[in-house]
Amino acid sequence: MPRVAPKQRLASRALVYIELFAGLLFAPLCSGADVSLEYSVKAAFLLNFTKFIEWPATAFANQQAPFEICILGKDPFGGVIDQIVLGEMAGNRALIVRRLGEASVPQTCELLYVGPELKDTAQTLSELPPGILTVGEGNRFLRAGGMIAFVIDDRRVRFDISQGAAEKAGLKLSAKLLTVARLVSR
Amino acid sequence: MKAAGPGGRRPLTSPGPVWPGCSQRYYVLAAALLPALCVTSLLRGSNEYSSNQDPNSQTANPAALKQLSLEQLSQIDVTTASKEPVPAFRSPVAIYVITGQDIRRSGVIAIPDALRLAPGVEVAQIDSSKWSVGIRGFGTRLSRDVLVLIDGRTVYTPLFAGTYWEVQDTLLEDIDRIEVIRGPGGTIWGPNAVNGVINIITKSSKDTKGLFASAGGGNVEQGFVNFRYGAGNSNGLTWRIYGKGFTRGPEYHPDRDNFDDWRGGQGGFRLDWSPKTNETFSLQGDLYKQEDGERVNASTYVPPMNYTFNGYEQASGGNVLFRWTKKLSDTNDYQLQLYYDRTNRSEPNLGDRLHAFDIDFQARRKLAKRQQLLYGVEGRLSPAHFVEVASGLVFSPPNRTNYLVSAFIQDEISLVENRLLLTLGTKLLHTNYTGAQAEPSIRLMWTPNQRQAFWAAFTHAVRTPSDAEEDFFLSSFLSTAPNGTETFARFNANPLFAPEKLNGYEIGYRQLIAKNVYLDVAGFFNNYHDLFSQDLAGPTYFETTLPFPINTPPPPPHYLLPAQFGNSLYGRTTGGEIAPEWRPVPHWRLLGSYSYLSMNLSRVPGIALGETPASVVGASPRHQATARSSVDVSDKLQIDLVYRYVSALPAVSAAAYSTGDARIAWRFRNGFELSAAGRNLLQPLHVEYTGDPGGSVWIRRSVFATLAWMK
Repeated sequence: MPRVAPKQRLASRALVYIELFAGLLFAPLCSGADVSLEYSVKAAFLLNFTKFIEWPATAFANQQAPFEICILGKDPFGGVIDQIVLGEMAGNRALIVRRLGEASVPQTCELLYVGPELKDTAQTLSELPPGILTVGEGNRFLRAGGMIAFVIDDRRVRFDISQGAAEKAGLKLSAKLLTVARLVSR
Repeated sequence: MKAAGPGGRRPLTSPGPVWPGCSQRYYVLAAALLPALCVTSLLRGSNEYSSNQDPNSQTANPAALKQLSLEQLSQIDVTTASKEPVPAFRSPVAIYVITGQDIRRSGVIAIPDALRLAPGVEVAQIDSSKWSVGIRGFGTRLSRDVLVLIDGRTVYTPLFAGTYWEVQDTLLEDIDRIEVIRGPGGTIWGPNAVNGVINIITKSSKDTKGLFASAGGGNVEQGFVNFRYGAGNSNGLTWRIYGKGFTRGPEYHPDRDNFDDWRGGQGGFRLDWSPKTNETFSLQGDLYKQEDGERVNASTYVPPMNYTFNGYEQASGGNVLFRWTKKLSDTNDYQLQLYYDRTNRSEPNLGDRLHAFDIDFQARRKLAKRQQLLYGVEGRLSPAHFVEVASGLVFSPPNRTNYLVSAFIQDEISLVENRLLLTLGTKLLHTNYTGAQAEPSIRLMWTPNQRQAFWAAFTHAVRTPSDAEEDFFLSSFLSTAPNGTETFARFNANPLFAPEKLNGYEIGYRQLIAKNVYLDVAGFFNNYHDLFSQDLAGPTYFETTLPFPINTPPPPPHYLLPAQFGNSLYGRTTGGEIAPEWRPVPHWRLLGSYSYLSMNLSRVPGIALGETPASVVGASPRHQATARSSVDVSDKLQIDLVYRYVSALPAVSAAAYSTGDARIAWRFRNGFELSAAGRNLLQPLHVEYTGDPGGSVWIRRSVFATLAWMK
């Protein structure tokens, strides 16, 4: 029976099926030491953010400068994020992942993922130069001045956006991104 | 071999997030990436929605994920899967999942037609409301050797052994998936899962929020309406209600006796409540009522003796099911399920009322580092009442109560971590018709690398005797002797009818050939004993009184040729299925399947009166092939094409045929979708199975349009 699908439900259940089927078929193959699905999905979101957000030219040192995804604090993505960005471009720039650990955030970062265990998040965020998209975990991250916060809603990874914070940093969020977001605050 | 999940009979695959409305394109993408997706471990997710991840807990393939859109990423259930235990997915079994999207996109209106999408399944339409369905042979109208479940509720009738397909329905929109397991599944799924299991699973009400309505009609599907509304609150409570109604025209009858029109309605609800993330309570129920025209044989001991006539079968029923699932840890969970099911059937030649009360408990527990235990117990009580219409078709005694008690245990042992998995298990069951029966199985899976998997299995399964064999007296008038005395033949109830038995040997192989090409191959050798037969039981004798009471005056003394339902057939089937899938471009899936079946049946010495090896063998196709194309031309336009070939069924007067189905759907901005679908398009009429008295019913080309709206 045909159905009309709600526009917001475009995601693929098929994938999950097949994954599950795959699990059935190939489960024993998997060598367990890897990253959770949750963080794999989040890593895929990070890649997507680079496509649906426009950075000001001033965010980059020059025309050839790569697009840097920086991870501040403990890295929850493991090797997954490296595989995600493999072969990908951000516009016409190469994409690289940089793990900052507890070090300070360099100017060259365009997307800063802030790990959940980082202390003094608010202060770190307040000291950032413009042109850096900040992504973190949970609503607290937005209250601390972050721009995009991952949240788990109904067992799915969703994200909330603080549009005001992003715009203040000179970033243009696409309508598409705002549509998919769970909540958008000014 | 099965997963803990929302089904009482636990589904093998996990309920996923809501299916994408617009496209199935990632199905293939994902299929292509399958082996790389270590979803098993994905299924082991942590109990909490925290960001504290266990580095060993979950995995997914980044290459697959990064090709998903924002919306799709937003829909991936990152934790539900964790409720599905790992062992289920490690079990080697020939399974094919028909997704809800497959069903909707193929323009299917009835569940049996949806089953045509799975390899190894034979579906032949008998008339407007009846199908013969089989898996790996033995197709019959009631699918005697196949166990069918809807959300964990067994719909297999103990009366005639099998499934009345015409009353198994729900809102197709709400079907999450149909798992089709080819091959014996007795160990976990219970008796009668001899040739396969068909597990129909509906969506959680969490995934059916909002309003859905559709209506349509055409030349055969004269009209149908569907409705559903779902909602929920912030305390983890969600619910839905649905209703549907349809009227279907008769198929083509060369004698213009159009007896098989069909109409009906069904409604139901489902409520799911998850007060905590690791605990879910579900309550669901359905009510239906329908009438379908049929042509039946009946016989009496007084004139008109044998007669064939048309009438309406009035069928109604309902069920209510409660399920409680609780997960204690990733490897330790349990589930309790209770249901009540009632069916009323009033056919032109007989009637019955059935009740079923069922309780089922299952649990999973980690035994040792590499051993995962799955076990369960079930009890079912089925009081039945028979209504006599014709004295030649009588159940005696008319009121009976069938019961089933069973327990199973299965251990999955990882012999070589990530490479070799051994699964051992057995079911023990007892019914009012059998002594204790065991259904053991042993399965081995070897995965030499991430792109290949080999599996092999040995399984023993039984089909338990039913009322139809042990309590049923079926008479037929043969002739009148010169002295005026009539001669009847009668299948007498056989209280010694033994369970039908199968020793099944299976192998399977799966490979990811290229990034977007996937292949699944399975082969089987099935060895059957004590198969159902219709046997002559002795010489004709003079019978003065019937050995069972009837509601009409006793017949005059007569000659009787005694016969009975027996276990005289045995034999082997061999065959296999190959199901490739190819995604040439992301929005285009191509799927194929070829199924081969060779049946070699014999009977023990004795005289058959009715079912013979040839009549069984000749009712299942030796060759079946399908090809499907599913393409999203754009976000708005979907086109689906299906080609089907089925070789001849000589025993039921059906020639080999090829036909095709097509569906085109256009989605509008405001939530409307208009679609046109055609079934059996390649010829105006064809015969699939002659199962009604009086000759073949020709299946018509069917075309219909549907307007749907979702909000």
